[in-house]
Amino acid sequence: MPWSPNEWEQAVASPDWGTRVVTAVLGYSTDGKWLLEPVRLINVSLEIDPDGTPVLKVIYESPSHSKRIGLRRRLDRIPFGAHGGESPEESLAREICIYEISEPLGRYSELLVEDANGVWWWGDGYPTLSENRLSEP
Amino acid sequence: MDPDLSATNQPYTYGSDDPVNESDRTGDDAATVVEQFPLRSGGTTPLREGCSTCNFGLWKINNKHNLYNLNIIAYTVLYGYRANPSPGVYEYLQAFSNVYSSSLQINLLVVSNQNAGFDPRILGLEVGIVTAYCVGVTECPMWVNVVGLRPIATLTSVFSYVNESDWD
Repeated sequence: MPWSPNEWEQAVASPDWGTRVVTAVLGYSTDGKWLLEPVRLINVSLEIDPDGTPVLKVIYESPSHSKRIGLRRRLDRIPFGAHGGESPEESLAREICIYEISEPLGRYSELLVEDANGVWWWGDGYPTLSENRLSEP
Repeated sequence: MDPDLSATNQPYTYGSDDPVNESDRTGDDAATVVEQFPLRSGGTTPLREGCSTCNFGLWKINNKHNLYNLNIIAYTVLYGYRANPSPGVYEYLQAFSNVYSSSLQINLLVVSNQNAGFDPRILGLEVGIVTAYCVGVTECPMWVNVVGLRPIATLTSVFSYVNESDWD
């Protein structure tokens, strides 16, 4: 077992949690590990929400989009899976890299919000998807 | 649209007493198994309900990728090309055409994580189908969900970044 729920709680509560996740994201992306679609990271940074939760901000480019994309991701949600030998930050970084950054945006493409630098943002704090589109008239 | 974004064009930030989206973020039904898909290797892999902030399950497949046709997910998992990019994780790939217009084609990619979950909602249970989407298009076209589809053998060039030797 890579880590226990208790170890996850301790990791998230540590003051350097956000920095550790940033380092893990950079490590995953530079190691050439598996992604759903190729992406190129432009910038990875950190900010803190007013409730104290660290927030990952990743700017990246994907062959699926002509726009430069930004993901804003609060780092308080436990990853669904973990591999042997991983630390909590490595498990979270892997999941964000594969299933958020490199997975196609889908209908989030319609909800992106452009900032002053021409980066189109999605994720925590930006518009969310609505449900049950199939049943709409 | 949340109040911050409409007024300032800045993302909503969560305060310490913030009730916004709390029920959505909980995802109490996330673990519920919607379908069990048979695998070519034997056994099955589950499709769970998921939620808006879950990285697995039906919610994401429906609402992010506009894919509601579970029959083509079942077919792809059973008969599609298969790759094993990391331990216990499988990608499945299958092309389909519209039965009424064979020039309308999609390539479906399905990812199944057959390891035990660490999220408390699925702790110790197989994660199952993580995602499924139409490759190379923004979202699955609606005809994928409402007309008959025929599996076809040839994958199109959208997979230029895929090393074919990784697939069986």
